[in-house]
Amino acid sequence: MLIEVEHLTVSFPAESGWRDVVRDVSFSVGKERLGIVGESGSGKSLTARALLRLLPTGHRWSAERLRFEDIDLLRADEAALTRLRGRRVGLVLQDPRFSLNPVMTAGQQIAETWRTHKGGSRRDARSAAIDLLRQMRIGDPERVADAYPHELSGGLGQRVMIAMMLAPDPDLLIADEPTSALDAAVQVEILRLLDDLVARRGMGLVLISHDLPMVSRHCDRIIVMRAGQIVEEVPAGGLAEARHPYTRGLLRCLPSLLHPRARLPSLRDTSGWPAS
Amino acid sequence: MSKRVARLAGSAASLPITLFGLVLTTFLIGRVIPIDPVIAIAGDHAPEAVVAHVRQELGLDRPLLVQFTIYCRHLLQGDLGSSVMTSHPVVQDLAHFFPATLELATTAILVASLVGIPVGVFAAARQGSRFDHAVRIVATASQSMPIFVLGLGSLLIFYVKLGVAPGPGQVDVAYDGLVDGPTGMLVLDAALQGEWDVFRDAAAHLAQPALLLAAFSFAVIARMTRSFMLEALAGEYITTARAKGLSRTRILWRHAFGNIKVPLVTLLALAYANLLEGAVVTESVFGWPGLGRYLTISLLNADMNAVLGATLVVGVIYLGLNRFADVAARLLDPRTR
Amino acid sequence: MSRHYQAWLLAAHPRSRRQAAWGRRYRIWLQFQSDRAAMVALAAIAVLIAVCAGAPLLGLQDPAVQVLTMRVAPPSGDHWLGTDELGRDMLARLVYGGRATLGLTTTILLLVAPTGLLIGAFAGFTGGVIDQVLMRVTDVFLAFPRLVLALAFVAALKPGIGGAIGATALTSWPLYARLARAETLKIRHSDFIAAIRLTGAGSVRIVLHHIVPLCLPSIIVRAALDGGGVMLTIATLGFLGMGVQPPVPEWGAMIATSRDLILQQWWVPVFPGSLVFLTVLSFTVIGDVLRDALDPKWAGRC
Repeated sequence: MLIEVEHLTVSFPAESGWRDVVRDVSFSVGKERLGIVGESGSGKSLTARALLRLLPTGHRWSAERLRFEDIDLLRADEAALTRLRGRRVGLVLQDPRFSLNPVMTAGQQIAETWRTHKGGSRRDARSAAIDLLRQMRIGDPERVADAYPHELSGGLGQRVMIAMMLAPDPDLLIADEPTSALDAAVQVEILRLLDDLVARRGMGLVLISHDLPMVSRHCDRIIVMRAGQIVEEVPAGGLAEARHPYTRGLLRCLPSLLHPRARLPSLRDTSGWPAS
Repeated sequence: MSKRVARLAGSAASLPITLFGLVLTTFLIGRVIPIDPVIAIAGDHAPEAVVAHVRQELGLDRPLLVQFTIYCRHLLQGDLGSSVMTSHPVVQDLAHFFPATLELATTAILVASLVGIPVGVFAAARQGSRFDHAVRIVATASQSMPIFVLGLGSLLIFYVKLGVAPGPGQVDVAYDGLVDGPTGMLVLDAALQGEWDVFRDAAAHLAQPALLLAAFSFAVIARMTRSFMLEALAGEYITTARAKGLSRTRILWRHAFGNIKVPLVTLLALAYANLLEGAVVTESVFGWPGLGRYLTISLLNADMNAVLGATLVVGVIYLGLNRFADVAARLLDPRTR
Repeated sequence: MSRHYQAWLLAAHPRSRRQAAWGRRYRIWLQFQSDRAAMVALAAIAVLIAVCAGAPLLGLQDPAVQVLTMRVAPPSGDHWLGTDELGRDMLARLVYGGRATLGLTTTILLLVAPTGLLIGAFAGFTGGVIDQVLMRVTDVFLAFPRLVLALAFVAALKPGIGGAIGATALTSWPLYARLARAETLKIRHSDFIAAIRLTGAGSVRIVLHHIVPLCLPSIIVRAALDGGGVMLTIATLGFLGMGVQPPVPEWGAMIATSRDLILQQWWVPVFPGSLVFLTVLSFTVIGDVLRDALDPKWAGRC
């Protein structure tokens, strides 16, 4: 098991006291592709950050169990966490315009990651960075390496981000809405790239998104979250047999070319769903 | 297309227009506002002949526009009139007194930055800690204290009571005139010429006023650095950097601080410009022979030419520093190159 | 405050514009109240203003009366804060000095902030030549450090209260005009302004009723933060002998005339100096907290 988490709760201070945004979440991830699906505010991003203990300041969290392989993350000190992050787990964020450092070139940022975890000279790091960019199916890696993030398109930026996170050869990659800021065509390319890389490197992948069909196509197992709680866990192929009313509601809302309808249904809050 | 050209033209033209405005303002202050500009320039006790001569030279019987043209013509020739007080041309006086202010202001900004920037960075890194609160309190307090109170207090505690610091002035009477160096900045000149006695004395005299000025700049620099750093540390790329497993030091300096270099340069240029204002009072308290003291003494003597000349020069320098800040910001930010 | 009013002000769904506006003001007040330093500062300034404004009613001694046999006397029963270098009662001098320094500061702020706001809002809204002219004019004023320009004006106008007010006011207004202009530019092209224009409102009405209220928060914050700067300018002018002239007391001038006394009879320059410091500090603290309250982005950042 790469990651095991049990009874994770995250809360943040609101006007009326502490509000739970992640409630009693438990799951595990192995060398597989796990998808976490939910609306905005369902707590999926915060769950991902909590796994790496990268919650924003001011948040409170607790869990009964949080392990990465043999490392107990509950009791790990800052030094151990720093060793874990990057080297064994990578994190890809949504929008490279904000998640990449604006005043460093793409190549510098990838090389930095490479050098931090593998050591070596600057020249080695730079050629490793260019090689990684080539693995991202970028035609002219030297030009991209010398470019600043604001000079790159969304798709290129995300490839840089992925290259940067894969540089230390981690065992697991967490991708938080990696394609939500991209055009549809570019989305497909990036996801196929991720599939390919993860398969070739024998890594685990946690893919977080609000896009249910996309997750079902690129993951082996799916977790559905709503209002901070997990409501369903199904294998990707078994979506049709999903039992929870929320999941079924989501599935019913998907437009279909095979069964066109005049009016799409919308989700309505009924009793039986967790209160928000 | 034409809109963009218009904007560019606007910003390029703004500098000469502002300079023109500066000249116009000093002209208005000097000739239009006073009740009798001649008395203002020639002094209260000038004999009748001098008054008549000045009146004719300034063309005060001519229409305002002609007067302004005469004024501008003199300016372009580098003629700012003569000082009643020193009876030298004002330009000569300004050139004489300017290096001392430069020495004071430059030392102050160096000290203030070397202390203020790291303090601001560490305060931001430890937001909410006791160190952070202490920094904010000290910075707010030193910005609120009138310079002259602090200056007087410092002089009288360290000079009179404790005797560890030298008194007012740039250098001891004994060493006056021994070093007449190339830059006009005594400490630098003395060092360049190897006159170590003079160097030590001049440096000792420089210490108090420079540290005082530095205390004010420090407050602004530390607070703003802290503010910039807090904004940088809230960026998504910091989360990425942490997720990459980089050390805290590296994240703080290479990533966060690396992102504030641009506003920091602007801040330093503006802080340096504001030191000109602080220098006026500091030089008055410490008897430092610089532009500020020249300005205040000219004021007390109602020496209009000197006052306006000094004001104009200070205005030009201030404007120049502001513009420099803009240009530097644009050059340093990779996003705007 | 009665429960009923509080509930009305803090309602999550206000039912009228008035309710929303007052609710917002009340929330800002609550946030302000929660900061102890700010409340202390506010109280300090309120007390100072009250005391200085009501000076004639307080039964103080005449600040101009010199008792040359009682020069620089330490605090005593007759003179609670001692006497200055000409035997005048310190307490009276401080209070009347406050009328000058604090009074000038508040007068200038109350003059300059609204004027700058109106000029900036109109210029920003109208655009075109008027706007460009305003930009250039404020550029010129802002091209000088405030104190230096004030000194030059005072030189022309001759030292005195009039000169000090004129000089400080002339060098302070551009800040507010620029700020108002910047805020106006942000909202000038927004949809709701276009909508109001469609209802037939003229420019004057739009600016006065809709744009000015939106600029008010930043102007108020800036005025509070600037209050310290204005006071320091006035006190510095006084210190340099360019402001209020003797025998009228003024804190800055009081420090200048007693500078040689600081070793033995330290209270003579230190009292006015401390008052200047405390007042400027109070303005700064209030300004900081107001800024946090009115613009959440800045909370905790400065």
